[in-house]
Amino acid sequence: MNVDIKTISLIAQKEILFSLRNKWFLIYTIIFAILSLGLSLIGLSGLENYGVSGFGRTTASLINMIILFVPLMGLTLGAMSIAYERERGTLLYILAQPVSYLEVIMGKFFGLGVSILVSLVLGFGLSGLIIGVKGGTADLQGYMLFIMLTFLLANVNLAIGMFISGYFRKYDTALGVSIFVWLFFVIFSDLGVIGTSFLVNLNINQVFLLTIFNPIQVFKLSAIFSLRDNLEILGPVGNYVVRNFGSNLQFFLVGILLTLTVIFMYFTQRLFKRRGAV
Amino acid sequence: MIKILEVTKRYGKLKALDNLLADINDCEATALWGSNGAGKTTLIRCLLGVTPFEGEIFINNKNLRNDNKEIKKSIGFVPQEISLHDNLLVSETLNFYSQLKKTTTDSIGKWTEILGIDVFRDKLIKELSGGMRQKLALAIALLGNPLILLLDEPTANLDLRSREDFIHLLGLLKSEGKTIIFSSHRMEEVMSFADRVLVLDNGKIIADASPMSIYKKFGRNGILKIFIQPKSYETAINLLSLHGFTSSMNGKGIKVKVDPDLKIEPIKLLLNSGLEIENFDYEVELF
Repeated sequence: MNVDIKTISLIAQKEILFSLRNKWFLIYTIIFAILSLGLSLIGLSGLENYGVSGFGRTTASLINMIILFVPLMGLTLGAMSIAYERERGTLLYILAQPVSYLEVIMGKFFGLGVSILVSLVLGFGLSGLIIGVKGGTADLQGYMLFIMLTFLLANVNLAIGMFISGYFRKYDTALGVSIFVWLFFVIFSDLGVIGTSFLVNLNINQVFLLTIFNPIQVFKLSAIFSLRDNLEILGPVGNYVVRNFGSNLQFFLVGILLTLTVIFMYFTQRLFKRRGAV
Repeated sequence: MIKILEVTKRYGKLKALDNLLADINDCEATALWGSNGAGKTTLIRCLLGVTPFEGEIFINNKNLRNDNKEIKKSIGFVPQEISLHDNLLVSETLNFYSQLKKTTTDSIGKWTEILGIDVFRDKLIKELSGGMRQKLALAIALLGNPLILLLDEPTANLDLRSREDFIHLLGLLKSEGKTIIFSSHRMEEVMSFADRVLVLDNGKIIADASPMSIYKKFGRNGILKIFIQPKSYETAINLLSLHGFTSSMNGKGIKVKVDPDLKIEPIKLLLNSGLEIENFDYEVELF
């Protein structure tokens, strides 16, 4: 494997620079910061009266926002990454230099990943500041774990978005498909699992297996488990999962998110090499 | 030396290149000639290794499939459409590509002055004129002092004056011993600059000879494009028709079919009748 770290770093730096100049990225960052701050303030209201730790309560408020917003950000930024440059012709220019397809893909992924991390840290950082002032720092470790899980969720969706971008030649087609995938993950996936389990009478094990193919569901399981050490709130499937995996559950779920990221990046690289620069 | 061995490129069922065989010698300027869709751009992209293909290409005894990165260090590329990142400065762009090539912007050497890069170094890419973009593209191609230059229709988007300047620059590069492969529609560029012409048609090489041989073999149909005011189109076409010239409207002007030896006649006719000619261009079609 002919990979040069400096080349990857250079392409990553270019991606970070362009993200900062990309209006969509700036819009995502601002909206995420506003939503995080707003939900944190709402979540913390009345905190003093109940004696409840600030970070845990705020994290719970943020989960539903995260599972809608972060995958959308990852998918669409990923979908723009290859198709846009291919359509403009700048991808041809870069690949005409002494770089490999793998270096370009990895550079783009790491660059966009860092950009998304900056966006998340800004949003979570502002919320964390408010929480720390108002609610104390008792659950800080859990909050940090939550940020890491959110970043992993973003990366999986970034990888899926890049796969879509590598497949479709036209930028607006890639963007449209990425939004459809987001809708599928957010809405249809749950309905699909419920519908299928009714139609073909799936057992709990099978329902769980269907669930873990959706990175949003994996994130939700992991985030809730990080807050509560149990998943009773999710019903029989939640109890099943905790009973079977115990204290290894978090490692298992994180492992799924990482594995999905690696799988999609692998196929993105292969697809990119097969299609070429144009 | 570049060896092209049974190279085929398919897009679905369509063969953009069909079993090409050719050797290109060092220090040679080779023109790729053909109509639109003949396979010129596809061949250049295969030589760069930026599109998958069947067959083999060897450049300086290295297999393009196995040593793609290494080979690209010795190649400079100028695409037909100069697509650079609009929001970067010229200096940032040069720095970026020089780092990708593991060299410095100083490696362009004297060409910085010849191309006049320092004059527009602090401009944004989107602020550059077509001629400046072409010069910047050539500067990027010359980073690292490559032995081989691949140029895809390098003068397609330039006006007459810029075109002449650019061909002069390529002549200087050729005199330095660079191997140059370029595609062009313009006979005067091929005649003045190329040592050899590969004629492509439907993805195949149908001729491989000197520019003069190609010119004599394939005919002398020329198209004279005359740029005039739209209000004068009809008058000009009628006037030319009266004198036996076949002409029609063409975007910003009119085009006239005329033998190369007679190409000045339509211009003289229009000027003598009082019509204002803004610009003109002449291309020989080989088919």
